[in-house]
Amino acid sequence: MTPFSYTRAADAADAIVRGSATGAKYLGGGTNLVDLMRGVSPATVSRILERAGLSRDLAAIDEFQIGARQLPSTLQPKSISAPESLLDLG
Amino acid sequence: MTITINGQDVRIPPDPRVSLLDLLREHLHLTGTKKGCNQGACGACTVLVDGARIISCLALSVQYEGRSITTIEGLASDGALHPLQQAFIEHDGFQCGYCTPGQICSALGMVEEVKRGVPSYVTGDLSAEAIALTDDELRERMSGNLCRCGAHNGIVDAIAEVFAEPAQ
Repeated sequence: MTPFSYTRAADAADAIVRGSATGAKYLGGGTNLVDLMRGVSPATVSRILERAGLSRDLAAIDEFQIGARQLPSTLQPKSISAPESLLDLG
Repeated sequence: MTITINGQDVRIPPDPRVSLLDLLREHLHLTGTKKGCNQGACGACTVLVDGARIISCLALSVQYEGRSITTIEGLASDGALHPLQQAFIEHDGFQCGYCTPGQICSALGMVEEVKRGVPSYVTGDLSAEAIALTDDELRERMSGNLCRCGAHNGIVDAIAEVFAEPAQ
């Protein structure tokens, strides 16, 4: 695996600032970033960033839920500032 | 920078590329946790982090600074097997045994998820206060742990004996 640095962001704002740096990737629960970095595109990531507890922050926002049947592809950053009901448990 | 492994504080390697699985197996020689696919697909490397199950092959050890990890080596106490370990023996819950540590750690994490009311794909009533650990629920929730020997029936029986509510 290509060397990279690891940073734990202090809060969501810090994560957004650091995440805009060249070569930075977010590491979150449920991603397959680590196995991808072992093989497919190892050179594209030079630093990874984690914001511990971010899901708990998001859970505090009304009408924004992440659940068992949520599709990650629908979870766009704009949804955080303009939350919609994303979860379909039907 | 330390991490607690089975009650013992361990220094985390400075290289952030070291996976939690490699820390356990290669650095600490705790080889009970197995490396199967190393891609997060087989569940053989499952360990508990503060009681929650994770696949250690896709976990970087630096992510778990200050957290408490329990591996299969940490389940027995004073030489006595954990009840689930004993049940695996009694129900022939394994053949080659390679997936077994992951199965057992996964089952312990899974049971806590059920107690917290976390629904699964087969949960019918998502608003129910308590979820029963039925055969369907158990098999669905353990589906991330593969057994190439095909010992799933014994595995399910062992977990059910220890954790499932008796039939009413």
